Amino acid sequence: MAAGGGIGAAQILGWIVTGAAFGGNLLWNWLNRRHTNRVAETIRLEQYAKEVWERHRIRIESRLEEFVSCVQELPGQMLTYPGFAERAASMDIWGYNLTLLHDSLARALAQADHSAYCEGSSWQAAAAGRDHGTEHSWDLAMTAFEQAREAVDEESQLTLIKSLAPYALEIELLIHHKIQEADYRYQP
Amino acid sequence: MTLAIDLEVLTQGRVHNLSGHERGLAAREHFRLDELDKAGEAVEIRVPEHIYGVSPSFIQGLLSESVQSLGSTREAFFSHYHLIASDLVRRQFDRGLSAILTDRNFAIN
Repeated sequence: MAAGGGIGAAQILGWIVTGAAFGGNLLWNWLNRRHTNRVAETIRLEQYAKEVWERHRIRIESRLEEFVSCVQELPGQMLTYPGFAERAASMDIWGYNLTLLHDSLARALAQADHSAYCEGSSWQAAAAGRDHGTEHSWDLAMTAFEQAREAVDEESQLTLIKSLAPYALEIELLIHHKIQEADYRYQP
Repeated sequence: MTLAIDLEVLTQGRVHNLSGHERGLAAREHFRLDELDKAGEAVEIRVPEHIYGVSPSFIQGLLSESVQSLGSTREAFFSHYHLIASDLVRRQFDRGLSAILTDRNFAIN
């Protein structure tokens, strides 16, 4: 220390060291805070993306289940009708309901196409099902249903209605596969 | 007089679903869509209320070549062809057009 109460070099050095430590501490805290904010933002975005995807997935799975159940229940519903004429009249209603359920499924899938948080593409196209050349599963299901409507005897009508189920399962498998692929994106 | 095609001609009030690529192609020929694609005025496509289902493959057979000859855009197609149909059928036509616009194989069939 300098004699006579003056400021010595050691004191100045002490201030510099203290100042540098303080500045370093401030810088470290600022960098740390910035990094933490970025990580928190990434986690929030990931969480939000996952929640949005799960909402889409629930909607799609719900519509898909309604559609597939409707197809699978058709033969049983047919058998509960007493006569061919009564059944034929109900076929129009079942056909309309089936088309509505498929439309509802296609719309839920279209929403996934428009979302930034649903991995993959061509969600809506999956509603058509598997490719069978120039036709897809849904085309063949519609054709079979129309043939069943026009069938002149009970046995062939029932056979045609039963033939819809494999096409509905093709649509279900294709959509489940797409859902699984999108799920991988959010697996930890 | 407005140019129009009426799908009632195909169904005679009995059929409620139009499906099948081949049937779409046959309908295209029946309605002479190759000529209507080049018409100088808009053409109406009328779908009667009793038709509730139109499959993508039928739409592809019916309209693929029209979409292609009109510039392969949804806007160009709908500015030439005006669809008169229920909302349910309109959405099915829309999906059929999406399939045409994304699947080039159908566009050349």
